[in-house]
Amino acid sequence: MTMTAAPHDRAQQDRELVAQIRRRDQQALMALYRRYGALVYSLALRVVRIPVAAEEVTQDVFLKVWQQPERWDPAGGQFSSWLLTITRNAAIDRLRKEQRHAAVQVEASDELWATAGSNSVTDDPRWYDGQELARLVGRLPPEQRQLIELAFFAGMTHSELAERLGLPLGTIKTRLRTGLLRLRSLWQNSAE
Amino acid sequence: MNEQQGSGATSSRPLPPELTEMLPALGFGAADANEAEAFAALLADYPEAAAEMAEYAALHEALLFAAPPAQPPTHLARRLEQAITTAPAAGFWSRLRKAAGTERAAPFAAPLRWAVGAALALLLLLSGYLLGANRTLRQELGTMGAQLERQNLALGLLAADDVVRIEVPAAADGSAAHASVLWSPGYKVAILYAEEFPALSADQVYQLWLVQGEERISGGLFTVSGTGSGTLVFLPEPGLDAFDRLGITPEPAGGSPGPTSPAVVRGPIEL
Repeated sequence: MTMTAAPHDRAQQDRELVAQIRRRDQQALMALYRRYGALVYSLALRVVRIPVAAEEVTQDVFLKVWQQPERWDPAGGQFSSWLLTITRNAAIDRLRKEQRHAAVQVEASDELWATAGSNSVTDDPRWYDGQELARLVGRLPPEQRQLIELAFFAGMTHSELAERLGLPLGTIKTRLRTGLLRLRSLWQNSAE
Repeated sequence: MNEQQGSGATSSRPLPPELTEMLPALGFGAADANEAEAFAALLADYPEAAAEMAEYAALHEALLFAAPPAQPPTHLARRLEQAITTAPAAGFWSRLRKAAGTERAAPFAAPLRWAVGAALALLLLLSGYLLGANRTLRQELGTMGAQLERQNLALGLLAADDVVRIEVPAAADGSAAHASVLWSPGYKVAILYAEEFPALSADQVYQLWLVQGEERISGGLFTVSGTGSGTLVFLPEPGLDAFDRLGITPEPAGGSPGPTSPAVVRGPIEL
């Protein structure tokens, strides 16, 4: 499922670009933006749903990289994962600050998963894996998919999910666990 | 795979059922804080559970790449390039504050006194740090003095019992920009104090936006001094309590019908 690429070279290029950013090289940041801007924007848009807000989150994320490049520790994981993690956190913070968290769409959204992988936004091989996983999420029953969506893209925990959906906490825990077990199983089978 | 049991650990020692049930949520990051805390000790006793938890953490990481593909607008690259050109180097403001002894523990406890102290400290520091010229320093002091006089007058107008304060934080992490709004419902007058805002180019102003739901109106325009301070007196109609949040963006001189740049500060209006 993974497109062949040169992940080692890519990781090395990321390290070099971040090192240049630490030396205040603006072109290095713009090179990182060209490489990952669409990935960051896609995730931000998926979380906040409003294009203008997604633009702001995207700019904030790259400004954070510019101002604090030392926050990425190569020993802690790949640059793209770190970048998307801070993107998700920033986007979810934005939802919470704007008090739109409670208004996040709760219906499981078939169309979002159906469009997975339709247009490549990066040559990062992990994107293809992610899009494959998105397709697998789309195969889950709606009630399980809904919980995984809200937990991941809205950052909701067990108790927040229970409150948001008006369901007993035990039901939420069981349903989410079942969904994650099934998704992991599908993911493992797809990799074989 | 037996979905009810999970894959289990490779160890012959069975995991406690309550831990087995919680592992997916713990690894996926969906457990509540109190749940994660409660299971931390149990996880320490069962290190073999870490492998299974890692599989859910890997699912979580892979989902970071699972958003539907979308292309950012082309103007975003230009805007980012402009922002990094004007953004201070990392740690610049914190070094400045430390050197001036004006860490932001309670920056608006006594706004006028703080403004005077911070302005003098910043100006003294800037004299050695950036300018190094007494003439420039005197000009800056003169500008700051005039600005403080205006602030003092505005505070006099708001010397009412019903004045409420709204703090507006920086929109971006790492930014030192912040603002404070004093609002008198009785007089229906508001004063905005902007501090540590990025410098504007000659053809730009800052524009205040008052937002209610999806509706956004301009609250007024202002510029900032060389130290990033600025003031705006505005008269929100029908009142500030009619809006639920505000933000400030840099805009072309004369203002814009809607924001065209990312906010420097933004926050809810909680009265």
